[in-house]
Amino acid sequence: MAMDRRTNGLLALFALVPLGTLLRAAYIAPPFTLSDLIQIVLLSLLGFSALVGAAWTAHARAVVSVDIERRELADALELTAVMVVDDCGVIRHWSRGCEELYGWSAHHAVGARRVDLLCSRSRQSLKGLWSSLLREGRMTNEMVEYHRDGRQLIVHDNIKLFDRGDGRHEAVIAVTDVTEWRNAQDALRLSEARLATAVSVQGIFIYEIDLPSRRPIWTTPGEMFFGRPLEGLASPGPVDDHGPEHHAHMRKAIEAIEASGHDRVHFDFEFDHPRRGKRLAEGWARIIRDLDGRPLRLLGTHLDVTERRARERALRSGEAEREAILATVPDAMFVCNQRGVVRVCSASACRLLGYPEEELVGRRLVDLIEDDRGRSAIRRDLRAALHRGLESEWPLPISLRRADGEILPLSFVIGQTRIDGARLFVVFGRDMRPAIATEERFRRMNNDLAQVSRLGMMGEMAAVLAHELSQPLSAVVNFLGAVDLMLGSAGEKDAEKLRHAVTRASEQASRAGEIIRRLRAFILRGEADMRAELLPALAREAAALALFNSGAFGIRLHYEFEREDRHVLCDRVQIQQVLVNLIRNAADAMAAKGNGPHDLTIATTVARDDLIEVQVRDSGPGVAPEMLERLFRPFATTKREGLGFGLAISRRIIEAHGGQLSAASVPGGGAVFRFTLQPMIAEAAR
Amino acid sequence: MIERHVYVVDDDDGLRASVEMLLEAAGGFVTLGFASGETFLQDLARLEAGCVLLDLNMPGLNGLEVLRLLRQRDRRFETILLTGQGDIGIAVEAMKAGAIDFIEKPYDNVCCSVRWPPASPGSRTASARKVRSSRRAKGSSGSPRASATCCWA
Repeated sequence: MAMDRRTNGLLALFALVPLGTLLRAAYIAPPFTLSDLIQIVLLSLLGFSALVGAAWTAHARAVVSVDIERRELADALELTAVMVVDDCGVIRHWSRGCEELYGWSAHHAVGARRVDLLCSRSRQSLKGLWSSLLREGRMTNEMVEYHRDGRQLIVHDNIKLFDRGDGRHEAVIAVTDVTEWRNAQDALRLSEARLATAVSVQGIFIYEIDLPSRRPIWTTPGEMFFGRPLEGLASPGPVDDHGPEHHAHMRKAIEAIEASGHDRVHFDFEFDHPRRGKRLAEGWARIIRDLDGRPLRLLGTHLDVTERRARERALRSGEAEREAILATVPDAMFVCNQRGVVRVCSASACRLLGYPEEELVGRRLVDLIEDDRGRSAIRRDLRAALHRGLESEWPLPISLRRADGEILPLSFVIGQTRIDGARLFVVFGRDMRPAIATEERFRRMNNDLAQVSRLGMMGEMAAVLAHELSQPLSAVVNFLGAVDLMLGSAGEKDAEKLRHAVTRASEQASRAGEIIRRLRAFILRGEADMRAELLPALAREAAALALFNSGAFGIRLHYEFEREDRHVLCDRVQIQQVLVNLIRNAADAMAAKGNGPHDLTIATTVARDDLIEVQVRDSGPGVAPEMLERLFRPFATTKREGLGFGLAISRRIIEAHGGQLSAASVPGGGAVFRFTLQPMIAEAAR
Repeated sequence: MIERHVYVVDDDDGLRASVEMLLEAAGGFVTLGFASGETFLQDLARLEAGCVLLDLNMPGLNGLEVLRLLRQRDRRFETILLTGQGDIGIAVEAMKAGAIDFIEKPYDNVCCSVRWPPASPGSRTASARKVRSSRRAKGSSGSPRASATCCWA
């Protein structure tokens, strides 16, 4: 550009010379002298030379400007990435553009092989590239190369072959960086692929509607979603009332948008799939507006949600069922993960353990166990039981500590299951307190009953006894019969034989005696255990025991105690046996009578000598007068089964207590049995 | 004198001994005792024909069972069931199963009831008639001596 200014100045100088010449010529007027002529010639020469000079200058200027343009072009070219590579692949020229693109300076690059410098990779081999270049003379190619800092570049080569003239060639390569573009293209391709996948896998239907004309612009293929090709795609008419079915759904989107006034809508609809029947779909749509806010297009998707809705419904109802189970299951129920951490627990678990649900969830169940055996033993037991699975002996008795510190006996049953590969334990803990209490009550009851049944079993025992006694007695009879025969026979008396028979007979008689002695010991074993006993309580227990499980229905039991805190001196078990016996007799008598009032009264009164009299009164048929006499003798029974020992034994017991047992008929029906006991002064009872 | 074999099957040692002694004292009987029905049935093949006094209540096979097995295996024996407690049902069962008599303990006329398979049918019926008539005449409460003598009459 400086050159240009100089030539301009020169040009101005050369222009001034002819101007001066002309001005000078104006002062020269005829007649012309020789000197004038010479002056004119000189001026002309000067003018001419000025013209020549100007012309030359102009020419020179043109030349210079072309030169400048060329240099500017070269400069510009230098800025683009251009390299020259010879037929050995060695870089001969490395433009500044290349320096910028690759990060290598010309100093580094020139003389190096391109492949080595840039780690070039191409779909075609380099040798193949070169040979096709030789053939074609010009080609384009895409390479993957690396920047000096390691970044990967995708470059587009525009290659032209030059013949150097000495039989060798050089390639001028204009390199364009297409990394960004290629990446964008890949991303686009990927997103398109994803869209296609989504459309095909999920059965999504996507459509776009031009809102002003209400015509569909494009849609994804309809087969995936509707199960058949869409009608009216080739020449899409407006989404009016008479279009194909899918138009109706698109129209629905438009209407929904117009009705709601929002840019996004969501609606459900149903359609008929040719193979899968009635399907449920969800439609989503949004409006795209122009810069002025006018609705331009509507972009919408349809999604088939038949299965999802069904699953959701199932899940919801499953959830509701689960909630119901957890709220109502009577046992404590815990769902624990593999490490025994409670994830879910039932309402009854919270109630039993006294913790709110949020304190139980997240806790390790083992930490709640409070057992004498120790936690490690429990853990071992649990593991062993789980290992054995169904064969193991559930339930496992385990005690837990309640929130208030109380120990809670539970029986555990644990099941395991796998959900999504994770092991879950479902633990059921049954509260054993009621069972234990029941067991305890039964044990007590059984103890009491065992005492009672010693009397109750008398009937059965007597039958066995009869058999037991009949054996030795028969033997005695036989031996004595033999003796009788021996003595009666006419022959000589063998004393030895006789003695033997008599000895055997006496042995058998002793055996019978022994049996009877054992029986007595059984009925009245040992010494009476005399203590101060609260009579009403004793009587109530006896009544409960006597009528328990006796099948004596409809009996009205009355108590008439003269004092609730009356103590008597007695053997509790024996007196209860007497009472049970009397009450059972009364119940049996009333049952035998059949219809009519079944009233049983147990009364106490103070009798003569401050003795306490106990009465057992019934509304049965009463006792016949002739029976009253024999009543207390053994075998005096009016019952079909039973041997009539009960009253005999009862009388013996009462007499052993220093009292008397007597019976009487009640005027108006029924019988009354009375016995007396020694009273105990309350102070002495303590 | 004809040897009349009587087999006493009873688990009660004293009772068994007493029956054996009574029959021996009465004379004319050859007695053999067995403590259980099983041992009796085992020895059955070696035994002479005779009369079996069979206790009803025994551990193991009871009297009725022994009786049924005996009737299946060997018809040479007459059987009398002995029992501690009388029961018409059991008595009927016993007679149906082939017992010739059913005696309640304590028994005082065991000798009367003891019969043995006679050499000829005639003598059997005669002896049976004799025994039955004697029992009818004396009743079951007759003294051992009386029963025994009537047996021999």
